[in-house]
Amino acid sequence: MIKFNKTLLILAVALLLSVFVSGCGDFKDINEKRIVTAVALDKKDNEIYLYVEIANIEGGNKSESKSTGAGKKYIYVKSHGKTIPEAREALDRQLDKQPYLSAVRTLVLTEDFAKEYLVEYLFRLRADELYRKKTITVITKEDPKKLLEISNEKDVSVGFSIEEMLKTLEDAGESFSRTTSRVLENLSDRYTGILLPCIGLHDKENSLIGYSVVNGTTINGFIPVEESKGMIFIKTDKSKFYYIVPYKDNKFTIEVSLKKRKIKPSYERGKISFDMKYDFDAKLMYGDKKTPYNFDDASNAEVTEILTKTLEHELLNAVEQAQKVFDCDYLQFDDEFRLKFPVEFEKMDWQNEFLKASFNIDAKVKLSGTWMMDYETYERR
Amino acid sequence: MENSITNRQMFFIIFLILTTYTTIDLPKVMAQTAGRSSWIPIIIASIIFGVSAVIITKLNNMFLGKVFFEYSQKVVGKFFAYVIASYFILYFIFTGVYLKLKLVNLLTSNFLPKTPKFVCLLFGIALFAYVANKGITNIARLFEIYGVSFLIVTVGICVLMLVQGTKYNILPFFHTSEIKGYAKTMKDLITAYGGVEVLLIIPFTAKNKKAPKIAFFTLLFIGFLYVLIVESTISILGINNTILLNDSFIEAIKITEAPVIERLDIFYLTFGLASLFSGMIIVYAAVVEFACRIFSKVKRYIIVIAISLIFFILCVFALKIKDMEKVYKSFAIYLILISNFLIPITIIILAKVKKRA
Repeated sequence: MIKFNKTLLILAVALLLSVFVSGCGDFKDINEKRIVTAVALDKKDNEIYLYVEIANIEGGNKSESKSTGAGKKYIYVKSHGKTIPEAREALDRQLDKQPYLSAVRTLVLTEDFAKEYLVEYLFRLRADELYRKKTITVITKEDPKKLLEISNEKDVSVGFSIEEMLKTLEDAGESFSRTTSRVLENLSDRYTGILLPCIGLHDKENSLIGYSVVNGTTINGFIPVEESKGMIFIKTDKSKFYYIVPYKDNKFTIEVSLKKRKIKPSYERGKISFDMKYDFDAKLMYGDKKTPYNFDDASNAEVTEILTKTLEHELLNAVEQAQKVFDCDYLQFDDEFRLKFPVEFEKMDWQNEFLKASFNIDAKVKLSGTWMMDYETYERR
Repeated sequence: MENSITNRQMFFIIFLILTTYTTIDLPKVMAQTAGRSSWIPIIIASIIFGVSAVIITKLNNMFLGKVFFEYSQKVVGKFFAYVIASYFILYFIFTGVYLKLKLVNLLTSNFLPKTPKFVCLLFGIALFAYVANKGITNIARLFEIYGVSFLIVTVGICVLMLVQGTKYNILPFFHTSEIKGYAKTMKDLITAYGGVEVLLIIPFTAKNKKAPKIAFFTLLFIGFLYVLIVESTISILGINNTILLNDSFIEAIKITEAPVIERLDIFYLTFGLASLFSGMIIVYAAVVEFACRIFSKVKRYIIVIAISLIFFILCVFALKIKDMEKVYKSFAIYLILISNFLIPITIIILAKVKKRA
């Protein structure tokens, strides 16, 4: 009886195991997929061009007739179609393995593509549960093929290099990046005004050249990176830039970092206004003349005043640019207003109200020397 | 088979069965009905269900060493005890089928997209049957281990999410226009807090004297955990994305950065799956315990096999139901209120009246 029960148990386990294993019939290891590290989209001549950068984990011993860069660490494949799904289907027809989108680092959209298809493609990304949601979205004015070719020549990944570049700039306080998920949240709000980093080429290197303004669902402007300091101070928390302040016959290089920012909205008699208070920490790094500088308290006060005026001017310019040039609140003052006046905000058309809002800017700068250098008491011997 | 548990084990049983699937879609449901003020109805609901937990544990303490089926016979008579036990069997089977299908959907969408669902069903049912066969005390010991790891990982990830999230997504904490959604929110929270009734299958001993107090604070603790999960998800995804995405908590985890771990969602699900299994295990065990009491002459393993077959057949049928979630939620609200409030309150009142008489 015991032997019969044991036989029955063994048979049951064998049967169950064979059923379980049937579930593994279409199991695909990651090595059997094409790992996509960057996706780029362009629109030219009424056709959508789709470029994908693929990690060449096989070492390039298999050639894809339609891909380029065989033998390199990364290869790219191009396809096109009248619509986004058509372009993707054309891509699938070229690849020998399924693309794996959970490793995409950067999504690169050309301005022409983004003007028409930004929302559609981002919603497509959101709906695909296998598409990596931490992907960074950037705009480019360059031909994506050129970006990919140059990176391919150097055997580096466009996806990784753009992502790491933006992250480095963000850590240094010189820029910001937004994951696609964050952009999607903005697009889902009643009011949408956002900035997307714009990438270009600078001496054959991927470079941040500015920021594209997204108003509603399309791109309607561009802010060059040289004109973006004020905007960065308004948008990011740990921003830091260098300023050259001419004083007497010296040009002092000063490191300015944002210490504290307070934006206080008010709403009186239908008028919106914002009081913006900024506290900056400034460090005198060096001048362009020989020391000693005799940088005493009086000099400190005067340089501080020049710097304060410069910063206030930049901040005001950044706000005026948003209000008057681009008619778009990409500085996210709508969030500040909504927190304080949620009921009033629900009833208003922020697109129009923002353009009429007034801004009072008050910047305070605390200028000091660096820990290392003493420009105040140094005397040449 | 020894069936007693300690108060700490009771804490983890309640904790795991309540949080088992709730964590995944709670942010979406809360964001949809109460928006950014959803923490208020969550805390209110935890207090209400805390009272239910106190009633159930006090009931168990009145009849030490006995389970609900045994002491309810003394209170309402044999016939009604069998009726109530049959009700609980059907209730737990209904809940078990829903939980099983949810587990299968989660596994197929996050881990095994190409695996046929019936394979996941078969594997899961076999596993849960094996564990449920081991008895309540062994299950409780298992839950202590699962519970600790799941709690630490969940709280850790939520804290990471809050740190990396945006404050503008979760503020303001209170908005008058969201008050009108509180009633619907409370209704949706009933399923989130259903599960305390499994304590009815666990006999209490002298070491469970403080169980009512611990049960109440457990529910309060779970309420705060729910608030943490909802707020951390909204802080990462934003209110609109939280409403749009079905598994919003998992989607929010996918975006969260953590040192070394590239796929934080897989890391969470590794521990989260353990808690998902716990919910199924205890529901399975509840059915087995009630069935064993009713069919006391049948061997335990035969009952376990029979229940496994019933679960499998029902789950295969339920796979064909278009919107199982809606079907479950439309009935579950009333069933949970009956199981957590109506039946325990009735029995405790009758027991106290009989004791005085």
